[in-house]
Amino acid sequence: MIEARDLTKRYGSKTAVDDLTFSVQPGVVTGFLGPNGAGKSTTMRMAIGLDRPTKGTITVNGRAYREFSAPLCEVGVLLEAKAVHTGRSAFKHLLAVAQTQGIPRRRVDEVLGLVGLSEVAGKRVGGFSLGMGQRLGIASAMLGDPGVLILDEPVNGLDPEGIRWIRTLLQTLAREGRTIFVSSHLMSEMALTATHLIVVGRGKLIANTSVEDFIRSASGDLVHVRSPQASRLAEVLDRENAKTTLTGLDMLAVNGLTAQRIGDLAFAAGIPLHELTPRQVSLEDAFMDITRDAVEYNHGQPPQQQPHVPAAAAGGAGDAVGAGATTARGQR
Amino acid sequence: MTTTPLGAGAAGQAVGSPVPVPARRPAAFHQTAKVTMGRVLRSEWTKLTSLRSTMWTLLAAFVVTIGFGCLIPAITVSEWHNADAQERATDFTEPVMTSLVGGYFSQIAIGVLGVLLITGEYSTGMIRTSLGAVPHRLPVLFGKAAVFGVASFVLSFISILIAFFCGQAILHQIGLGVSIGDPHVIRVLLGGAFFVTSIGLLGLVLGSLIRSTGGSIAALLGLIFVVPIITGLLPGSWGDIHKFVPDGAGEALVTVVRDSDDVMTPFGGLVVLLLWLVVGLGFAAYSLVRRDA
Repeated sequence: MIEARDLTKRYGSKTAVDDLTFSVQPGVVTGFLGPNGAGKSTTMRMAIGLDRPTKGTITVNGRAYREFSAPLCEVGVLLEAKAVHTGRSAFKHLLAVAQTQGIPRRRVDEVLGLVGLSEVAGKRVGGFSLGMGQRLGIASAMLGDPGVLILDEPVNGLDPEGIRWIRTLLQTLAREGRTIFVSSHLMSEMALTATHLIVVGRGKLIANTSVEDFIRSASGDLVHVRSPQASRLAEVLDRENAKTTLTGLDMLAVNGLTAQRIGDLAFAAGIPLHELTPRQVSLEDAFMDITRDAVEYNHGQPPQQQPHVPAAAAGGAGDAVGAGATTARGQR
Repeated sequence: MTTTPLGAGAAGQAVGSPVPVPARRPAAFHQTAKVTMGRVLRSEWTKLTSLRSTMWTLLAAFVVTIGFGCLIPAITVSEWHNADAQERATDFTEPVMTSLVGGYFSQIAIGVLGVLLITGEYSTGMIRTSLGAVPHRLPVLFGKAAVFGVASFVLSFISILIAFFCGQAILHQIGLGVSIGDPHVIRVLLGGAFFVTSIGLLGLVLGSLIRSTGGSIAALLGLIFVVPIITGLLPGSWGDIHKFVPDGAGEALVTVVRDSDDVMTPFGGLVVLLLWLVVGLGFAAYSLVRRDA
C-alpha cells in the first residue's frame, strides 16, 4: 500500500505537487493519470526518496522509503527517463543493482528471462531500442520481487505487442496481491489496464475513483434529442430535474434522464421526437474535459482559475464530468 | 511488503473482480537481502569493471606511465652522449623523476575518470537507480571512492614500479640509474601513486558537486594545472600558498632530495593532500544527501 498525505513539492515559486492525499491499495492496478506536467513523476520520485517533499509525506507499507533495509525487495521502480548507464550490458547493470542488497545472481537471469531479454543480456544498453529499454526497466523493478511496483509511463515506446505484454503482466502481478501504481497520460491505456484511478492535474488531485465509475460518470446519461418543439421539451424535462442544453434549433442535449424516460415524458406531453440517441462520451473526451483546466500549457490561452472538483468523491467528480461533457457537446 | 497480507479493505477495493486476492509468497532471498557497505562495495566494483571506457582509460594510464618512464630515460641516454662534462654535471641530476614523468599524463586520465564515474551516472540517469537501491546515499559515494581509490592506487603503483625499473635499467647504461633500495626512492614511488590517486578522487569530488561532465573536467584541469601557475607567480611569502594546493602537495611527495623551503616535507604534503580529500568528500557527501537526485 502506498499512502500520500498532504504531499507537496515546490521548485522555487512553482508548485509541482500540491497537497496530494491518496492511497494505493494492493491487489489491483491503480492508474495515476494526468496530463504532462501534472506532477506524476515528481510524486513517484518522492515515493522512492529521490526528491524531498516540501511538505507532507508519502509512505510505502507505512514506512518512509529510506527506512527499508532492502528497498528493492519492497518497492520496484521504473522511472520515466531511462535510468541506466548506456555503456554497461543489461546483465552487468542488473547485477550491480542486485549486489547492493545481496539479491542472488540467478535472480538477475530470472528477471531477464521474465522480460524476454535473455538473448541480449550481454549487449550494451546503449544499443537497445526504446521498447527493450522499457523491458530492462521492468526487469530492474522486478529484481527484488517487491510487493509494491511504481511504474512511470511503462508503455511509452512499446509496440502493440509490448503494450499487451505489460498490461497482462501488471494484471497478473496485481492478482498475486501486489500493489501496482502505474502512471500514464493515456486514458485509453489506463481504462484497459487499471481498476482504480487517481487523476491529477497541475499537481492537484482531481479524482480518486474506480475506472468503472469514472467511465460511467464520464459518459453520464447524456442523451441527444431532436424535436421540432425542442424548447418546449426542454421545459418539460427541466421540471424533472434534468440538465438540458439547447444545441441547435431543434436539438437538445439532456443530462440526468435515460432515453427511455425522455421518450415517455415527450409522449405524455404530446411532443414529437425525431431522434433520441444515448451518447457515450469517449474516455479520451472525458479525460480531456476533466483535466482541461488543469493542463499546464493551454496552447496560448491564459491559464484559467479552475473550479476544483471535490477530490476523492467519485460521485462529485462524476457530476463535473457530466457537466463538462454537456458543454463539450454543445459546442459542436 | 514482504508478506503482502491482504485485509478485507484491499479485497473490497478490487472493484469488479470477485476473485479474492491471494496472499503472495515472498522470494526466498528476501530473508537475507539487506543493503550493507560490503555489498555496495561489490556493486561499485562491478560498475567500475563493466564499463569499456573505464577499462580503456585505466589501460591508457597504465601504458602511458610505463611508456614515458622508458622514453624519457632513453632520450636522456642519447643526450648524455652529446653533452659536455659541465652539462652532465648540472642537467642529469634527477634520475628518479626521469622515469616518473608518465605520471603527469596518467593523472589527467585518472582525474577525468574520477569525474566520469559520477557524472556518467548523472548524465545517463543511472544515479536514480543507484540512489533508489541505496536510499541512504552515502554508501554509494564512499563505496565509489573506496573502490576507485584502491584500484587507481594499485594500478598507478604497479605502473610506476615498472616504469622505474625499466627507466633505471636504461639509465644504467650511462651509470646514472638508481636502485629501489636507495634513500627516498620507495617513498617517492608510493607518493607518486598516491598523488595520481588523489587527483582521481578530487575528480570524483568535483563530479559529485558539479554533476555535469564538461564543467567538472574544466574545474579539475583548472585546479591541477592553472592554479599552480597562478600560485607559482605570487610574490614573496604569498608564494607559500603554492605548497597547499594539490599540485604543490604532490610535489612534496615526489621530491627525492628536499633542498629548499619551497616544497613541504613529504609528510606535510601527505597531510595536505589528505585534507583536500577529506574536506572534498565531506562537501560531496553533504551535497549528495541534501540535494534532490
